[in-house]
Amino acid sequence: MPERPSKLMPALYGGIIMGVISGVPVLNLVNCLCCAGILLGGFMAVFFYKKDLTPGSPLLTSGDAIQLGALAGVVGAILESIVTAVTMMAVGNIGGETIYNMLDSMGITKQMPPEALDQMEQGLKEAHLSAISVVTNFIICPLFGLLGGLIGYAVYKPKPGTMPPPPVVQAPA
Amino acid sequence: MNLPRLTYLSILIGTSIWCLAIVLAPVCMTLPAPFSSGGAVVYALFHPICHQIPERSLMVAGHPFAVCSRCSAIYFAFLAATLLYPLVRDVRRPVIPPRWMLVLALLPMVLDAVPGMVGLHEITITTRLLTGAVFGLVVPFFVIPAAIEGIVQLSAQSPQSTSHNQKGLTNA
Repeated sequence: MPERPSKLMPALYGGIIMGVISGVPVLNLVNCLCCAGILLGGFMAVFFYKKDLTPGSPLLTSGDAIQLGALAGVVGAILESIVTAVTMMAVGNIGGETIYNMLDSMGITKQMPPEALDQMEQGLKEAHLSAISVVTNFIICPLFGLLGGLIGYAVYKPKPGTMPPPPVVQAPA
Repeated sequence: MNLPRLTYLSILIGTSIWCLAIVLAPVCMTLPAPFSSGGAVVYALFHPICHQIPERSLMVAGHPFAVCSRCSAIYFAFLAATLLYPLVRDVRRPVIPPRWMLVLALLPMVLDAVPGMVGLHEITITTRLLTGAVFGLVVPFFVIPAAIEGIVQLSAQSPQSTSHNQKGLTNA
């Protein structure tokens, strides 16, 4: 009977998608919508795994989706931390400055109380990768990656009644 | 307690803690020093997953929630649907709804956000809350059965697994 394909490569691809979306400035604004970029990474890991399944191989299970999503999350957290650290060192906090400038041009910053404005400025203009960000990455990415994997399973689950074909039995010579 | 119920309870407890933290951040900010520092840590923890723009957030005593109004609506609706789940579905019989329901639930949020960003429609706190809540109410019906099914499968595959792990799950 054909074996299950390796989960490593699909999880790696999902993690790369997650890490790039979450680490690259401006692109990481996608995560402002409930970690959409991280969810997408977990989802895509399941998509790539499903693509690797051949007609004879075991069907996609929700156990596979959990493993793929969580693994993609770990890869994504490592990659996001590296990409963020490198971009912050090279070009500073472009994403934060973009949001701040956008809010400023819309006149929103002028309406904000000074205390809230200070708090927001501090967060948006911070140009280094803090320890708390790294810890957060390693909590958020596997958690939301797993959620994305489960959503991926809900979308790509085998249709009811779908059974793998019976194994081919070789006739004795 | 069997594995499906344990998985469901873990999701419920996890979601409750998550939602509590969202509300606790502004509450902590109204309190004296050690608590307000705790609130700042909670804001920092939620910072990578939400823009936290105060103008787009719900407020408690002048301080914004740890996430914006749309994210808050998604998470609190997720919690509400998780609480309702055992009344609507059998925890021991994980059934995942058809995928078009997920697309349908996502549609109002996309129709609110995309035309809003290009200036075709005004995004208000009400539209953010409503569209976020619709999505948040539907997602648990996909995530919970998939998680229950997956945990039971993984537990059955593990070397220490015993047949009683499967007993909590009944076939659809």
